[in-house]
Amino acid sequence: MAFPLPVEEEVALTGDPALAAAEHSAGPRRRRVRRRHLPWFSGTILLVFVITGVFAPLLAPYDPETLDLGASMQPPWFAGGSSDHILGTDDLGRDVLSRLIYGARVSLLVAIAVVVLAGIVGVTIAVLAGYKGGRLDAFLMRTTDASLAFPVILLAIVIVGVFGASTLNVIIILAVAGWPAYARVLRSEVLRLKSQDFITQARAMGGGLRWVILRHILPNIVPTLLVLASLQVGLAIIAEGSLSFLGLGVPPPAPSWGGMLSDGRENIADAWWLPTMPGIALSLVVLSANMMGDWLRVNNDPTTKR
Amino acid sequence: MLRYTLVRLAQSILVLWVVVTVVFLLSRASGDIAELMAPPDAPPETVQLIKENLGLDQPLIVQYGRYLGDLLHGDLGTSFAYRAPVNDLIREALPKTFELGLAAFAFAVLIGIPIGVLSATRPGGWFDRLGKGVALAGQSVPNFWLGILLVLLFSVRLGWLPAFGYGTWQHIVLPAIALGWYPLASLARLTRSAVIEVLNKDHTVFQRAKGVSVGNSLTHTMRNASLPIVTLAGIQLGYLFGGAVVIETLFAWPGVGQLAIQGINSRDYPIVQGVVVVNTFLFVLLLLLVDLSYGVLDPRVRRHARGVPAAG
Repeated sequence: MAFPLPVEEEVALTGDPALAAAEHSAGPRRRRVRRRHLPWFSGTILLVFVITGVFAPLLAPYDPETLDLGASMQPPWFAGGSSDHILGTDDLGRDVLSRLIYGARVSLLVAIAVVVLAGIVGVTIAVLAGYKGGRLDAFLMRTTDASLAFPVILLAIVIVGVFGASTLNVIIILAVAGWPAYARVLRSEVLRLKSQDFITQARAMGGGLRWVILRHILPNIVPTLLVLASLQVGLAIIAEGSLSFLGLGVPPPAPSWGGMLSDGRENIADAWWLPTMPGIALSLVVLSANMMGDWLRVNNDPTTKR
Repeated sequence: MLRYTLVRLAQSILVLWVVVTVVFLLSRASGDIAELMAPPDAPPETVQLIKENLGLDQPLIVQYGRYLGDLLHGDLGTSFAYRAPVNDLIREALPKTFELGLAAFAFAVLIGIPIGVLSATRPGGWFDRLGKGVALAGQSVPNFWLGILLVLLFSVRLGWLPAFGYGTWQHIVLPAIALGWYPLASLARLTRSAVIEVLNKDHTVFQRAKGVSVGNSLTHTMRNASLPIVTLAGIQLGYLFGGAVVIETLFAWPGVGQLAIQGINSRDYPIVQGVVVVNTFLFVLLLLLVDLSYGVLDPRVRRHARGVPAAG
């Protein structure tokens, strides 16, 4: 599990143009056609994910934590189970579909909170370091590198070892692990902008620091920020899943996809659907987030625009 | 080169010191360790005795000094739960984590890099599209779920390989594949980009124009494309050791990750602390070696390092 942005993403984002172009070169003829495609598949999945998370109490057929030992270990409806529990029940008789729906809520909450928190910290540091430069820049970037060098899972072990497992701690851990990617990538974006004529002009006109940053720098880093954010959604959801799987994340009995996977593993020999269903949900959402990020990047990258 | 090496070395030591200090402060912030160690109904005198024994009655700065001193001597303290030196526990678990990490790394490198190179030789071809699919799936399917699916198929259904445990060579196959899948995907993607970039450079195009086949020019290409690939491979190796925690837990692999999770569950903080310190040390060391290997692979870095430090 590598939560700080994977290196190859960073290479593509920090605009080594040759590498980024190579990443997407699919032959000169195919390129233009591909760009017009809207990401229907990933867009639909993500929309369903968000709606499910927001309206979980309205959509779920059962309460996700209610035990029904009389109806435990029922297979999904399409594998010989009853239509009362479409995706079957777990060893305690809880409805798998309802737990999946509420699990989406946890994943959504964590993903949004992490992306927003890490984004705010990362953008602030990127703008300060990139725009101010000098010693501040050197200090902030060395701090960023040091944070990048620290594996998330170790951070999680330390924080959970000390403060215990909770959803809030998951968010804190992932936000602490997530900001350096924003800082690194966006700083180079700010550096690139800073040397451009319109910024020089804005400053020559007497624009103050705050005005230049708010009106000219920030709006121009938004496209890159969006790409980063969508990639981080995928990473955050996987990381939340891993932490909950280890028992370091969302504490039971609250439903979370990672926790369901962990419970399901215990019954793997008797009930294949228990570890399979949450994995499908998790992979679909992460796949969609990654595809969306890829699409945004291709359409955002000046080297692939014609 | 010497100057560069020294600067990087100093930076690495600084990072290590910061991590060690943060771990120390966090572990002291977690509450009274002596109360945790003592039996639940122990009288206050016992708790006090434990405190004095561990030096917990001393001021924080003294404790910190002692902790740093112990670390410098390579002493990680004593586990509460096992009543054994943390050093011994880690020394026993670490080779097993290495074993798994190296197996996964070999799987990723031996399959990922060829996929990347083959994809790059004909971008947009069927193999390239297949490789892209594999890479996307590798980055989206969480490794622990992949592990569960592998167990479901190869252990529960087919009964070919053991579902968990440590011992024979059969035990390592499933965890190594599950763990190696993600690095495989990112290595394949990066190799593809790096090779395409070099293939588009003038000197390669010139060679091709003179009639050198793709296969022959690849030998020249690979050395030029190797820098980003080596960086990523090094970082991935670091994550394999640090990130094996989940896979070790899933497959009951008796490595360092398992040790840390058990440490958390039994509130055995010297173990947690020891694992984090050792892992960070290895990770920082690895990054240092990766950076220094640039100089060996690319003479331009050597020259650069002697002059002005790299910008940004």
